[in-house]
Amino acid sequence: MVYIFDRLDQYTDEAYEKHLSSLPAWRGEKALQYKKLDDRKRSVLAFVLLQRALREEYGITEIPEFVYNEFGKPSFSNLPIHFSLSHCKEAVACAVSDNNVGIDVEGIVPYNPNVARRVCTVAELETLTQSENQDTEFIKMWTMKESISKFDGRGLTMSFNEIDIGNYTMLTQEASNYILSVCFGKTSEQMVDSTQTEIKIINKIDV
Amino acid sequence: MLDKVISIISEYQDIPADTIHTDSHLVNDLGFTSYDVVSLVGKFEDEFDIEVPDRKIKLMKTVDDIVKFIEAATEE
Repeated sequence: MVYIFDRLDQYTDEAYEKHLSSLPAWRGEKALQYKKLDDRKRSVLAFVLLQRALREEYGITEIPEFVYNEFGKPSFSNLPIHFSLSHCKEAVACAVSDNNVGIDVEGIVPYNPNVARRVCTVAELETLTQSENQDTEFIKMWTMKESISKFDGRGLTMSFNEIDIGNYTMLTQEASNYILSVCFGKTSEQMVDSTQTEIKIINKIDV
Repeated sequence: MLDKVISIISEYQDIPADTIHTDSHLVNDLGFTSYDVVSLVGKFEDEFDIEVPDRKIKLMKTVDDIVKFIEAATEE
């Protein structure tokens, strides 16, 4: 299940303060590490989405403290539930699943060939060269590869330009100003039918 | 070197330069996404005429990590 909230402009300072004060101390401290208020808000919202997803999908109301692997991937040590969080300037997203999962959301920005060279295979670069909408196509590729790296758990230490997107079961959703991708694992392992995954777009965050 | 690095980060992320310190963490303190980090590395490559291998990007967690990498790369 994927939860996404993209009405960040409607997330008031008052709502943020209330949420922040209700978070477990360890998560509140993480949010307050950010210099900018908008980043703090997004960090808090990611956790609020996770709280909601766990409550609605699993009936869990107390979220245990995350543990992190050597590359920074968070997980629960004592719950058989997988999750992945992502936020960018345009949206905040959360995936929860019985199986491993990776999610990424990124705003659509002008195409940057220097970044693309690091990220894309030769074939993907060729596709981008011929695309009439390079901005969107590239960010789509980026979010897919980033979600694969988060699924894998190695994050940016993976060589993105060696990742073959076609080997993975993915779900991608395009909005006007951002793209969301979810990776469910290698297609050959057929862990999850991505067409059965629901994306819940949250229009209002309860305070 | 440090001032230039901080200036580039400040401009990229629209954060006042005087709030960015050597131990500031790009993701956890300054709000960079992974995409931002890769994009930022490209700016350092252009500015300092260096090449950053993919495997080194993940090691650039703090401002200090970046400065040390650039110092080493420009001394070669």
